[in-house]
Formats: sequence, C-alpha cells, structure tokens
Amino acid sequence: MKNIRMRIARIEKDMSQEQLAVVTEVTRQTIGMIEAGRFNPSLKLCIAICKALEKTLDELFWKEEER
Amino acid sequence: MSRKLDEREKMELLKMEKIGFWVLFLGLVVSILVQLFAMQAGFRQVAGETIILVLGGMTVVVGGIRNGQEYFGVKHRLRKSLFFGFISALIADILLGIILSFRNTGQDENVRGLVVTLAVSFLIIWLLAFITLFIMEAASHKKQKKLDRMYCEDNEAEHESEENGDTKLTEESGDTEGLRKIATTGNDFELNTVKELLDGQKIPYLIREREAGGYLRLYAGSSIYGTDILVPEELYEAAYEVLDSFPWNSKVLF
Repeated sequence: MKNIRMRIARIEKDMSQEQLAVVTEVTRQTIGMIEAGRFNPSLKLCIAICKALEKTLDELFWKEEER
Repeated sequence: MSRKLDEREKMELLKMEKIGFWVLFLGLVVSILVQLFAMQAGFRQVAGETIILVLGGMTVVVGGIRNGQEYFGVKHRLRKSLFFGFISALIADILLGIILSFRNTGQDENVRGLVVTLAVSFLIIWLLAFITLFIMEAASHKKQKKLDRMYCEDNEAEHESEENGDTKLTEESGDTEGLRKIATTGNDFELNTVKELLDGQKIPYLIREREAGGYLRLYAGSSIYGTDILVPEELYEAAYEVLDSFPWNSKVLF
C-alpha cells in the first residue's frame, strides 16, 4: 500500500527524496520504495523518518481502514 | 508439523546463514590451498571445489547486481576497479608464485621463467579483475537507475537542475504525482474549514500557496492569489463528498 502520508509530509517539509535519504542514512531508492509501498521499513528507520519529518509514527505509518 | 517463522526468528536465521556462508566460503578456500600446497595436488584435482567456490561467489555478485548494490559509485568506478583489480591480481599472483616455487623445489630452477610467468599472469589477472569489477559496477548502476525510474520522483534531470542551483520545484517536477487538486481557497476561514473537514475524515492533504505564474513551495498563511488543496487521487471522491457537504459562500471546490 502506498504511503501517501509520508510523501505529503516530506513535500510539506520541502524535502526531496534525496534529502530525506541523506538525513535518515539510507539510499534514495529506499525512500522511494517506502513511499511506493514496496518496502516495509524497520521500526528504527520509521522513527528516523518521523524525526526527520517532525511527525509521529501514527501520523505516517498507521494505516487507516480502506475508505 | 510446519510452523511459520516469526520476524525475530527469520532475522536470526538470516544472521546464521550469513555466518554459515562465510564458514563455507573460507573453508573451501583453505581446502583448495591446503591441497595445492601441502598435498601437491594438481589443478584438476581441485577443480570441483574451485567451481563451487566460483559459483557461490557469482551467486552473491549477481544477487548484488540485481538489487542494484553499488560499491564504488559512478565517479570512482574506473579508479577503484583498477585499484581493487590490482590488489586481487597481487594476492592471486603471490599465491601462484608460492605454489610454483613449491613445485619447483629440488628441480633445476628457472628463476627467469618463473618471473616472466608471474608477470604475465599478473597482467592477465589484473585485466580480467578490472573488466569484471567495472562491468559489475556498471550493471549495478544501471539497476539503480531502473529503481530510480520506478520509485523515485527525484530523477536525474531534477538532480542536475539542483546541482545548477535551480531548486524551485513546480508541478511538472513530479512531486504532485498521485495528488489531485480538490479546492482553492481565498481566505483563512475557507482554508481552515477545508483543513478541519479533511482532518475530521483523516484524509491526507497538501496545501500549496499560489503565486502569480506558479506555486510557492511553502505554506505561510493566507495568500492574495489563493491556496490550492491537493488530496491523493484515490481519496478524491471521499474528500469531495466531505467538502461538498459544507455550505460554501463562494466557489471553493475545484
């Protein structure tokens, strides 16, 4: 499932995937794959992403029921 | 009775498999060297172990390439391929020299012939190692670019423009892909109402201030040019339904 919340949070923070990748110490492809829903990050990486985007785990990674 | 491994068990199994791989890999290398040195075995006699060693190594290398694992990077590919090719050739040549010296002990030694053989083999191994490393890195880079195209918005053109100092992003840069404009608000009241309605339904949204001729990246309060609200395409219908239920005084919905 695509992680649209993470993508929006990143855009709101005015960060590119490359910049977020540098901050969280992963590759740009990893960030792209998380946003595309092709890779499930570890809790450690989730926390790093949340810190970088100043969001909580709930805000970025808690999946709401399908509407 | 089979049972699914949980996350921790899988990770620990993976760790053990990694250690097991190195034990097998180094065991094979030691086994080949012992047979060649101590047991005076011929190269044909260690062919089986060598083939397994090469196949195991190739499996790891091909797996790395398929995942786009880059070790050197584009800028250093040539230099590092040459350097590590040189190191590989040096190690291989030293081992070859020791083996040939062992074999020639007690015989009429032809030092000059040995040196020539080692020099030629060194150059051949260096060339082969260099070509292999260079091709490996090029293939990995190609795979990385493919992953870029599939999953990354920040394509090379964008990186080039950033390197040139042009960091302004527009809708054409692709960062609004998958998002659809649902409303344009003209004042703080309308904007806050949209936000509250969408927040209430936990629909994610992106706010973009308009500027004459384009967009400002940052949201910094009300704008005389209006503010656009974008939502994920798949949630557009749900968002429209929510926003449409509010009695707007002016045209807000897009």
